[in-house]
Amino acid sequence: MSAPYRLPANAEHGFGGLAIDRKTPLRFRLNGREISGFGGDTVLSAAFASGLWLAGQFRGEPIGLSPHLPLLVHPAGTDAATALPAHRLPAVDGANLVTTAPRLDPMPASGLAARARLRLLGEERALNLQLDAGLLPFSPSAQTTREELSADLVVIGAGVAGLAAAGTAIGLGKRVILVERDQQTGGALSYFGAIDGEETPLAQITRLDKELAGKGELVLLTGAKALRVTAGEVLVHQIRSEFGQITSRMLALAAPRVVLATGAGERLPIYPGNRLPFSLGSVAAFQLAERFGVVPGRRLVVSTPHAHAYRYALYGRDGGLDILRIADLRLEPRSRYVDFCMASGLTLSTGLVPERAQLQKKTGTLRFTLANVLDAGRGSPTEFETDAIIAAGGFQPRLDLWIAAGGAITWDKASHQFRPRGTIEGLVVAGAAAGWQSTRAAIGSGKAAALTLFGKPASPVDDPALPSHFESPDAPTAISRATGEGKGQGFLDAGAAFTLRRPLPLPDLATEALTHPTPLGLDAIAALVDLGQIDPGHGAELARERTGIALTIPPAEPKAVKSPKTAEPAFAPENPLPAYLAGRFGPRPLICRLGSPEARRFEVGQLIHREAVLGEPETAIGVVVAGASATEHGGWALIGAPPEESEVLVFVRDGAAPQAARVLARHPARFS
Amino acid sequence: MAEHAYDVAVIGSGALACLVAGLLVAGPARSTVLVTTPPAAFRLPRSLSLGLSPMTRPDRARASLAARTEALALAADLGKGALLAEDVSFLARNSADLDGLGHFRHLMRSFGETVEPLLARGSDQPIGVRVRNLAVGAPTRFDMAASDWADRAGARRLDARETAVALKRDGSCRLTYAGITTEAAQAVLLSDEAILALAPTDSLDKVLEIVPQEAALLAAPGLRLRSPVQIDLATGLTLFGHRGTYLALTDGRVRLERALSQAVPDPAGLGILSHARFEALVSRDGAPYFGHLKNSRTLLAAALGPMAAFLAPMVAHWVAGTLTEAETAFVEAAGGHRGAIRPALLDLGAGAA
Repeated sequence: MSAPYRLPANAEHGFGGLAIDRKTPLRFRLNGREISGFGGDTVLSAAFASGLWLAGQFRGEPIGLSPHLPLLVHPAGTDAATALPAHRLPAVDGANLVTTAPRLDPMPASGLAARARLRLLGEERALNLQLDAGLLPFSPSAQTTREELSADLVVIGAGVAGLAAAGTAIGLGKRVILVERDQQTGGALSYFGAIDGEETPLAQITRLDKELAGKGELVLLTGAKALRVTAGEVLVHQIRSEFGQITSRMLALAAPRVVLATGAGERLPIYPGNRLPFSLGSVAAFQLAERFGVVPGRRLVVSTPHAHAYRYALYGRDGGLDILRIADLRLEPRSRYVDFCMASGLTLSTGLVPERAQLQKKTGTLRFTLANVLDAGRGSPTEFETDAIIAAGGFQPRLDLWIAAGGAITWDKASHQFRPRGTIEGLVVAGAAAGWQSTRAAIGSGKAAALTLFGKPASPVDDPALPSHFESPDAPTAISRATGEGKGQGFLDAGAAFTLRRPLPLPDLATEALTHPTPLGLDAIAALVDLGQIDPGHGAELARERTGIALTIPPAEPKAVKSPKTAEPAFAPENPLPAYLAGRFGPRPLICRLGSPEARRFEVGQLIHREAVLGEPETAIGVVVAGASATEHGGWALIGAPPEESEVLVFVRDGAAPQAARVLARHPARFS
Repeated sequence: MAEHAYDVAVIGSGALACLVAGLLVAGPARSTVLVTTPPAAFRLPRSLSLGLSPMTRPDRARASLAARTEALALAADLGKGALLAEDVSFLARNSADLDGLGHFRHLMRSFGETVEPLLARGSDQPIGVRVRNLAVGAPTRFDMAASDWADRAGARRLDARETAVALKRDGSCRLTYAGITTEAAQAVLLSDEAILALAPTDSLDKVLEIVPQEAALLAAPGLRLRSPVQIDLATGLTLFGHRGTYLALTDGRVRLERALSQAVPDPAGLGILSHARFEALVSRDGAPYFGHLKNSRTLLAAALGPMAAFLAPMVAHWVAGTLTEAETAFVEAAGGHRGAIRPALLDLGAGAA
């Protein structure tokens, strides 16, 4: 097949790629490999479409590329500090890009050697990234231009909740900035669909967009990721493509009110091989197909704990994909999508939980093994040889910005989610980020958020759920049975951290924070709770520690003093002696010049005793407080009751040994 | 007089509270309940237990070293890996701190401890002191080991997150857990978290001050410390290194950002993996505090510094009324209502708040 990873332009349900323009083909290089794409592609979607699905290795295990992996790229020959995330970066014809992550291959990614290798060995099938240390999340370069905007309200997230919040605020005559990470509005609405009696997703987004269109009070920032929300300010990084040129900028948005409508992310089902190439979550798979026409293969198995992933299977089948099986974790799933699938001839199996996935090196296909949830692995597993796996998980509200702003979270047992708790002045969470399930509730919560922030009365949010005899409740995110030791047990997250599942009991649980120093995301923490490896209370605190990071380390300060002591020590009576010497040697100690008959130079802190038999430290009569100058010996001491005559020896303590000294003079200054 | 189910309720999280509870149970007729939050995997440690910390007062040094000797006798019971033997460097950035470390070094030498001068790399310039093979509590593991040991010693445990504590003016307390109420004749608050949660701020001695401390986990592959544990006196920054990963702790004087920008050559290259800000108690005079809440006989010990867990035997003696002669001198000086700063207690770190 000529284009195994791109559906035809006329694929049904928009799965031909709504964001790409097939009339403007483009080519660029990524780590020396030629990538073909279309205008509207991101670097990542074009790479996928060109068959690049293997990112590299983590401890010897192949790791697939994914929209959740912060793959940073920059033009060859430019400063790596300017690198941008490939999943947000528009593809540009003629670019020569390289990744920043360390590579397994010592050969360079660009230049003459890379071209020679390409000529001799052919195209690479992988980016060959060394992922053992994880990947650092994207952090904008200090050189990025910074601009400032202000508004009455900033809405983060242009899904239905965000659009509704923005529309409501504009209706109140307010100035609004709407920040959207993707290049288009709508969020994941088309993935979730609508329930009976609601508008279609496309109709809803179109209507909400229309309500906002042409409003002078609205600034819509697409391709813009909110990095931090603090009192009165939202910090945003935006990537723009203008006339074939990519630019990025930082925006400081000043606004007294903020709506967080950041949606919910899909959790990674936990089983060995859950981050292999050609494996995607159902939301990522849906959006890749809908936006770019990209699919991970032609034969797929869909594993899901809920009905939403059925839409991908249905649309994919209609687009020409061979759906080998829909494997539902639930024993008796009921949903109109189940009915549609059955009626469409798709094969459905129920009560199947992923057991493991393995990459078949010879064929490049995946072997996907699922176990029956009822027989605890004793029965025969169900196996598939497939091009790709769509493994759906449950949903975790995206609350990183909320937590970093100081917001509290709590574990909701019923939904297996962390949800926001409490309030922060001027900041409201809306939509799926707040835990609302239905589209109607998302819209209602967006409106209510805007009204509340402007002191207007808001209607209660209605979150209609279909009766369970029509729509079975979602099952929790899949967790395979634990088998064997830590390696190969699967990952807890799909992002930069590569948090491995550890068998119980955790072998080095006690020092986990230090021995497993990865930036745990909320998804991984939710997985730890589901695995019973951390209790929900600790999980909420852990989330605050791991995802609420709001630190900016300033550049190193010039050292005022190169070394603590640059000059020879000399006692300067105008400098007060340290307070901790107060009361040590009586009420009126004297500062004395000490001489050393043995020409020793005494050190600060040496105790002084009256007798050569030193006795206990508590019996000391004084202490050396300054050394002598370079040309002298002895030093300066603070002594409670120094001998009156200079001929009388005192003894400076050097560990257990006495060193003779004489009080040569008393300094007129007194220490009190 | 009311009948109490327990003689003592030790309330607090961390190794100190657990060790004290276990030691009290082992003492004569001390039925003890431990109200504590169990340590958890992945959580960021908020302190690092060290077998020695800078001090300049002989009475404090004597009592502290004696308590440490007694605490280290428990090491075998705590299990493998709870205590590490690490080199610890104390760094000075100015001549005042260098002098302070000089007093510390020579005081310790007079007690037979080895504290060696630390010189700048490739130079004979002193920049601090180093203690080799010092007992260091493995982060979290030490707390867990102490928690397990308290269980084995026979202390009854209640999860602090699910226990309602009512402190009474006579020093006793009522504990309600899972709908069942019990009482203890003497309540002892032994962690900052417990003190700040249960004691009104105005019931604390004025010598104690609440400060914001921070903890962070850093990825800094290129960072080279002078020893696995490095403490900067000027900023109060503690760094504990482990294969390119570092636990960073502040003592409340300087914000973590600033402390790191001074301590790390390339702060821009740091990956911050985890971070927490929390409130803690320090003393204005730099000395530990043994006392009670105002208008109450509820006991509390605070501002014990990095040696806190190693002072557990002394704290247990104090609670049980069995202080040794050396301990008595120090604890009595550091106890009761200090209010204004007592000059006789001033030590390194005074004015940290």
